[in-house]
Amino acid sequence: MLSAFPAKLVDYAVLNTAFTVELYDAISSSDRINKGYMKSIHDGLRAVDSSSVRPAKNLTEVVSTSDTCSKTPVLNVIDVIRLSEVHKKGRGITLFDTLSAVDRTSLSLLLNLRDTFVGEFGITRKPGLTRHDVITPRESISKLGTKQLRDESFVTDLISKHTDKALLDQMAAGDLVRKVGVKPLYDGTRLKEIVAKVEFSVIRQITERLELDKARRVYFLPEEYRYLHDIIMPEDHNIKVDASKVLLALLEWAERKIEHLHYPGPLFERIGITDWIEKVVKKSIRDKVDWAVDGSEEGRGT
Amino acid sequence: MTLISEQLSTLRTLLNEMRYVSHGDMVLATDTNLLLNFALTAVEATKILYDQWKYKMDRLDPIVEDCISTAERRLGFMKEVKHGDVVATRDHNIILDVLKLLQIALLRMAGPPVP
Repeated sequence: MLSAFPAKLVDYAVLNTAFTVELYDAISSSDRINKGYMKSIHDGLRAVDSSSVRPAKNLTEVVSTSDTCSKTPVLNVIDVIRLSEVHKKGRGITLFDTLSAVDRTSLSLLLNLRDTFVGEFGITRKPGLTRHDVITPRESISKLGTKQLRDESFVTDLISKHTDKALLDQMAAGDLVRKVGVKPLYDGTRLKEIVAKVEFSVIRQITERLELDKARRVYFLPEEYRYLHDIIMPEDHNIKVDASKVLLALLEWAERKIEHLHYPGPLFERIGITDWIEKVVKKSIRDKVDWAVDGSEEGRGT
Repeated sequence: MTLISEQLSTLRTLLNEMRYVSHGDMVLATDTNLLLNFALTAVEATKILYDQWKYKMDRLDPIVEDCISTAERRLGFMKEVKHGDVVATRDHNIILDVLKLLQIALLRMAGPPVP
């Protein structure tokens, strides 16, 4: 059992119980178990596993862990948190300036504010107030009791249940399932369900038409296998030209996707995806194109 | 750092100069050289995109880095050909390998999320 004040660097394991004040400038440990009853401030925390229980106040500026489990009844402020899994139970206030997690599960009873959330899975259950300025998870499942605010949200699958009020400024989701009990408000909400499906369709068509799977390697064979006659055929060259054209379309797609990576809501407006399909992709892929748009097959240029 | 738009413009120019061939056509040195220059420029463009992706995602992707570095190494075995040179099987296979590697890298960065 160790007590830290005011600066402490622990290398391997910390089992800490304090009743007044804990200040850590830097903590690096494989396992960390902490119980505090008044106040705890961490400038930097890097741990494989971190578990903390606090009934009073918890300030963590930087947290980088693979797993963290914390229970805070009153206040929890985390400036930057990067971890693979978060399991959090709070009964007071939870503030995340930046949260990047693969899996996140949180239970809060009153208030939960996140400026940025980037993760593959986000599961939130809150009976109080939830505000997401920017949320970009692959899946978001939320159950809210009273109120939910989202400025921008872009998810593949969104399943949400609201019993009181939901405000969505912008929303782009692949599949959207929503159950609202009382009243939903959409402030200029633009559901991009169709456009998101177009994105998947375009990428699939681009990749299918790379035709690199059809391309074959050519081998220089020794004299005794000369009868196999392995030479570079005209089709081999043409496939490379086709693949180059589609790769250029893929590069252009990637440029636009990465340019608006954190702002996927207005992405489709800015690039004008329909025009882009017509002008760039369709021109680039001239061979054996079976577009869903018109179903026509165009001839190869010469 | 070169802008990605300049690289894409170069790629479009190279593509416009490429040609489809059929049986009986002469194999020209430009056919191989254009594909080589296209692959070199595409690798540079992918590197720029990966830098942007790293900055925005704030993390690294070792698979993308491996693809890009492998593509660069493969292209190091190629050189431009001149009239009279023999087009080796290596010249064909390396281009295919590089295009496949770039495809993997770009789809990891900008493709649809893998379920």
